[in-house]
Amino acid sequence: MSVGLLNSASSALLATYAQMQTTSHNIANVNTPGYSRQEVLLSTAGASFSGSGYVGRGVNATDVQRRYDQFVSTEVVVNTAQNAADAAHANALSRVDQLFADSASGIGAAYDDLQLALADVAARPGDLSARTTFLSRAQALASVVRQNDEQLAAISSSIDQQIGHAVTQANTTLQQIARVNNQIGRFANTTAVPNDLLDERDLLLEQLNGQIKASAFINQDGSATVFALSGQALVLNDSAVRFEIRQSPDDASINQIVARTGTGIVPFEQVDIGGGALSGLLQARDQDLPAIRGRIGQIASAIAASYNKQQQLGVDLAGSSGAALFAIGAPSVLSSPANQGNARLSASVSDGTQVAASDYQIEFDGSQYSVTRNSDATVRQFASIPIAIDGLAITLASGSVAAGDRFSLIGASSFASQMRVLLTAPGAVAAALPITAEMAAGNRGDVRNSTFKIVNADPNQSAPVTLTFTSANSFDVIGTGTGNPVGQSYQSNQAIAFNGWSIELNGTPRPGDVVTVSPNRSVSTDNRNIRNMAELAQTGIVSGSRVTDAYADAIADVGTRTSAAKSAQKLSSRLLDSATASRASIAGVNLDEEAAHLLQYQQAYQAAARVMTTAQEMFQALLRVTGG
Amino acid sequence: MRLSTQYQTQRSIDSISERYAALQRTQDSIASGSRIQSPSDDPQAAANAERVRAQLARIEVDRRTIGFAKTILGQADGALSDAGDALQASREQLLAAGNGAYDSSDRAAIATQLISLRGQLLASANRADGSGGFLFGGQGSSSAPFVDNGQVSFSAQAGTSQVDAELSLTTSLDGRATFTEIAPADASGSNENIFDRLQTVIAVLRDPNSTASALQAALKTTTDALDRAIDSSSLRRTEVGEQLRRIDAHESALSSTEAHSQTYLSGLIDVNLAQAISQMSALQTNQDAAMKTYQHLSTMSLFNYL
Repeated sequence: MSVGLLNSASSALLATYAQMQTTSHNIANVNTPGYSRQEVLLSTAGASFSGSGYVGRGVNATDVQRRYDQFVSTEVVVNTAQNAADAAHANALSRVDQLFADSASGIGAAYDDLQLALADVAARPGDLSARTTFLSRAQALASVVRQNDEQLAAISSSIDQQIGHAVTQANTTLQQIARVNNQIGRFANTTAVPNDLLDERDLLLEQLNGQIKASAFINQDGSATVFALSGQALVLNDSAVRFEIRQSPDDASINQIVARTGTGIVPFEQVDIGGGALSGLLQARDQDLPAIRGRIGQIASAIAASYNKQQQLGVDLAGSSGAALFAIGAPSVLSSPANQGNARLSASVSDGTQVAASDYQIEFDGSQYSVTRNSDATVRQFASIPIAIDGLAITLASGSVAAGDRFSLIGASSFASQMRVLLTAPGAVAAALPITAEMAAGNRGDVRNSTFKIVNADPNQSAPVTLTFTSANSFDVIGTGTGNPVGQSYQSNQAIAFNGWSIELNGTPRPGDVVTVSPNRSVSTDNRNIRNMAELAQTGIVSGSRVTDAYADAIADVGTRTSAAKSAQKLSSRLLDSATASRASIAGVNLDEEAAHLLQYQQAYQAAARVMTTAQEMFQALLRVTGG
Repeated sequence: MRLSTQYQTQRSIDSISERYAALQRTQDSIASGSRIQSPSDDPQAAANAERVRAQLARIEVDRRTIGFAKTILGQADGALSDAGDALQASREQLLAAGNGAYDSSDRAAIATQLISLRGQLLASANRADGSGGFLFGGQGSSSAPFVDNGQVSFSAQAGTSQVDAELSLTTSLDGRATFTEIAPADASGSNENIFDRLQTVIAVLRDPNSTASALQAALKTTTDALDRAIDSSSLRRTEVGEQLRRIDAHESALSSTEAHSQTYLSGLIDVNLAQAISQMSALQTNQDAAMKTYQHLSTMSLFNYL
């Protein structure tokens, strides 16, 4: 009888000891990342039949379980992937955001400084120091544009480094998951569950999701198969794929992420990565930065095209036609190595003021070319090449195209990096116009010249032209290139245009009054062309927007992208927080709770020990009675 | 709800550092006076602030341009006034020369006066603008526009030079129309060169053999020409005055636009100090409380009682 009592008490001591040991394990791991608190499962040890019914035999510690909820843990993993992507994206954009923070040292301010210098040249066109200031302001503008682009490019290459680190980390984690899989596999034939290994694997999966989105499927044997969003298996039993970085076949300047599997190489685009830091980094590098660099390139292109054109319409101090003021980068076209045809395409800018802030993808389907503008994903079809799109001309340089061939056109995003000023001599600023209108001496009417413009270049531009009034409202024209028309009708302030120039006269002529248009004799004091150049600041030269507005739009774009990324990060961090809280409330260790358990188990242990001593005393008492 | 000890600690630390970051942001905006530290703080306001900055820069350009025109036009007004004085004085000399009691030596003395006045008039017409140009330089001239070889000719291109497309302010007046091609009063007349007229009458006055009728005819034609030249120069002065008036109006318009732009810009980016400081002190109190309760909570443990 006392044997049963001792057995039952010793089962209680053993079970309670296991509980206290587990409690101690929980306390020890209170700060261990990924640790799930454990508890001992108890069941009664059954009962023996006696004359007076079933008498219990004590307690068994049947298993040690971790407190774990699959659903809540999955929530944490999914939100970790999202939050890591959002955080990496927001961090990258914050650096871009800072570049546009100081408006006083931005492109807009440099452009306005140029306007001040232009006004000074207009006031004193013959003053070499005003012209020198104008050229140095133009250089300052070009260098601010270039630096802005260089800084964006530097952010892009630092993102590339971060991508490299993230890939290394993901590879390490994948290896570790494979190793833990292997360790768990050793327990496949036992009923006991290795709780701590399961915790470690869950933590590794969570860490993996910090780099790339992945989910785990638990197999019958306890091993986990880890899948990427694309369905590609990343870990199978104890083997893992290896991520690598290589040059993109479409664009050698872009590093692409690929997975080396047992059978070959699988490219991982941003959609396949789906989450984790890599996803956010790729989004910033491949979408945001080219779009923002495209905007800067678009502004550079419009400035170069408009100011160069204005220069060419005017004449410099020596009376020669003005030379181009700015140079910028040129578009380029890359052929995909997978192309069947041997065609090389080339691209050039046909109208720099119409260039879009975007790069393009070109695809030939056998009969038509589809050109996709990356910035807004609009697709346009062209039946043949040369193709004219957004101020660009795409031509076939050599070879022939085959169906399925793909090309990528690097447009505006590559312009700003090459922006510079071509003129160095102050005299080269074309402040004057090559020709001018003059009222003949002896005119008796009060006709005056109110506007004189050069609209476009013309071979007969400098040919002297004479307008002779035959009445108050008609005139005859004589001059090479005009066709010598007679009886032209005259109206005050109505444009009269020949040979690429256009004038407006006002006032009332008398018959016999003469207006001549002839080469300008005072190019050193003429400010008409520089005034036209000054007008460009108020003209919509950037695809219909003024430079100021185009730059303000770029600032708004950067700000909106960054604040959207920050909001997304805030939201996903809140979701992650709430998932982590739910998991912690289930799986986390609470020291007060463990202290209470400690007391509870201590009391149970003491009670069981008391039962033992009681059994001992009972046995002694019995011996005394029977032994005498 | 059951809380894990580690999560509880982490959460407290996180919220303390979040609040610290908020304090830092508020402190930054108080220190810089701007509520926009980078475009993402308010993208639309940042873009509008850039537009206003450009507008203020544009006002600066306008001021520079019209300031230049104002200087030139002020000088032109002075030159026209001097030219008008010389013309008026010449006219008075001619009236005196018509006096029947004057003899040839009196007329020679008047001729000497007229030579000097003609010289003054030419100097006014050829006056430089102090910026490398000439006030009556037509479409622009790098040397004195009126050349005197006995006869005075206008060597520059006739017309005017301007700055500022909007106001079209004249920075070089049409010297030819003012002095050497003065338009006739009516359709039948022809243009007048005031220097050559004066030169002719001076020759007549200096010639002791001039007949009375030739003298009277010369005096009459020259007086008529002087009247037209006086009209012409006072008409130019009116035009110049009109432009100076436009400049004054535009300057005050610029000042008012500038004031509006500054107010708008300040509304866009300036931090509301009262609000920011009260937010700062609320955050501080909050932070203080969070740190105290954290300290309190972290010392609370059942183990203290075992």
